[in-house]
Amino acid sequence: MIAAATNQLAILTFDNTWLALPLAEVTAVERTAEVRHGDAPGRALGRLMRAGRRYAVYGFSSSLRLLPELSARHLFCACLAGSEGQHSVAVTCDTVTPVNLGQDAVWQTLPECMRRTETPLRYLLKHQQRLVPVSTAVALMHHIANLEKEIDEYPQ
Amino acid sequence: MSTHNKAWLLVPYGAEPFAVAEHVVMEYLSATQPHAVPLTPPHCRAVLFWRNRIVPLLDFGVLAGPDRASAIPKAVVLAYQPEPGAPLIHIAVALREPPVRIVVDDGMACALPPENKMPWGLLATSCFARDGVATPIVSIARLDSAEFRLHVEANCAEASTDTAASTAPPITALAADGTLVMADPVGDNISGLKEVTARLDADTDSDIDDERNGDGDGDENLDDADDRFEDDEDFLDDNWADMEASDEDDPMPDLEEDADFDVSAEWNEDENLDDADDGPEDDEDLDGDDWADIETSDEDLDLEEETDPSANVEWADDADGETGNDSAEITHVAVGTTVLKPKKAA
Repeated sequence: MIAAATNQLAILTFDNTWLALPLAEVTAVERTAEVRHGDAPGRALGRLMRAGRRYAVYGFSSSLRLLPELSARHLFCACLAGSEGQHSVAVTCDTVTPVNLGQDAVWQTLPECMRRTETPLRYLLKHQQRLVPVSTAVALMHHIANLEKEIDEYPQ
Repeated sequence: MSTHNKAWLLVPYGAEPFAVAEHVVMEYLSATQPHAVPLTPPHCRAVLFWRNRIVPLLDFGVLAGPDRASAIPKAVVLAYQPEPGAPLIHIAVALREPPVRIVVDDGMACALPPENKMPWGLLATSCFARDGVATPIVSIARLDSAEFRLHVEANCAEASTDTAASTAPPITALAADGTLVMADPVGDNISGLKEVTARLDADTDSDIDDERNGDGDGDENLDDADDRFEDDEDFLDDNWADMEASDEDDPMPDLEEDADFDVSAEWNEDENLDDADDGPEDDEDLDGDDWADIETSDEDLDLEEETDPSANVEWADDADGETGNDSAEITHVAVGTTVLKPKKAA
């Protein structure tokens, strides 16, 4: 199944966009009200403390670009599992919903013709008659790093 | 000996008409509901749900300028097999007009047209002249290739920007020397009869038709069993012309078009519009016996099958079956074992 034999996903929604991650890579969900502003690395919107670990908080637009500020509609932060040596990341969203994929789930790897350079998307999933792009925590972190680099190199 | 082969002439948005081999066309959809995918190349920003699959939709309208992308395109679903034994890969191409079935002869070979918008040298396996117009024969595998995607990304920089908030520079991840890898371009090298039909056959999905025909003959990719329908070419062209004419005046052209489409003798005989997905097997899992059964049932049941309303389930699904906004259904979030109701923003 998707993402190394996992059939459990967490679907994040923000700005009428759905984005799925392996459920095991979402370690916690916190309220955005807990986000502390200031002392945030890079283009992060703030910091979040969870189980003694600090998470840099980012928000995405519907086109998966970084938001310049916290959206009032994003009530929750999905804390993502990071590998050793990486800073941890949390993504703001409207909702987080765990789903179990059945045998009849319709999904596929991202088609070659859509596989843009540096895309964080890995799979496409049809869920409740909607298209849900599927990423991974590591891919999303790389995407955030690339976007921060672009903003630094090509400031508006 | 001159060789005739059947093909489909496709008229996409934003690019000149091109032809594909007959066997690669799976289905024509007169109305589609694309589902947008973020962070995708400008020519392939959406997918279709088709026969329980997720199929990328290529729309070359963007190649003619940012404003030319088609809103609700007609589309044709195509398939190719990357290598023998591999599962079929499906892509869809947005069309301006319904496909037209044509016959290609080796004597029609000509040089590729100039590359105004489309990199024909990258995409085409051959070219022929039809009514004095050079018409490339396109490989489906090359349409789906990374080389074509990189070409579009490099040449449609202004259209590749996702939103106004994006600061991404044009993606220019080409070869180190800045050139594209040209996969067996043909251009002026076409000179004879054999080349055209040989390249029509060149897609590597020969396994499909080996299984279908079971004859292992030289042109296994192109059906040669229903020769009598070559005589119907003019009749069918007229039908398509009528359909296209009515399309302009009809406020609901798609539904009318579907009806005409289904009862045409052309499509009834088209083995590529198979009903293989009616059963539990996918195309790629069919064996030789299955193909024999399908072909037999096509011959016997085509008329009934095409007039059966249930045969249009996929069309209805694509056209209007997915208009709900499911996001409203998610009203809670699970934190551990505790379910929290979201509060309205202050």
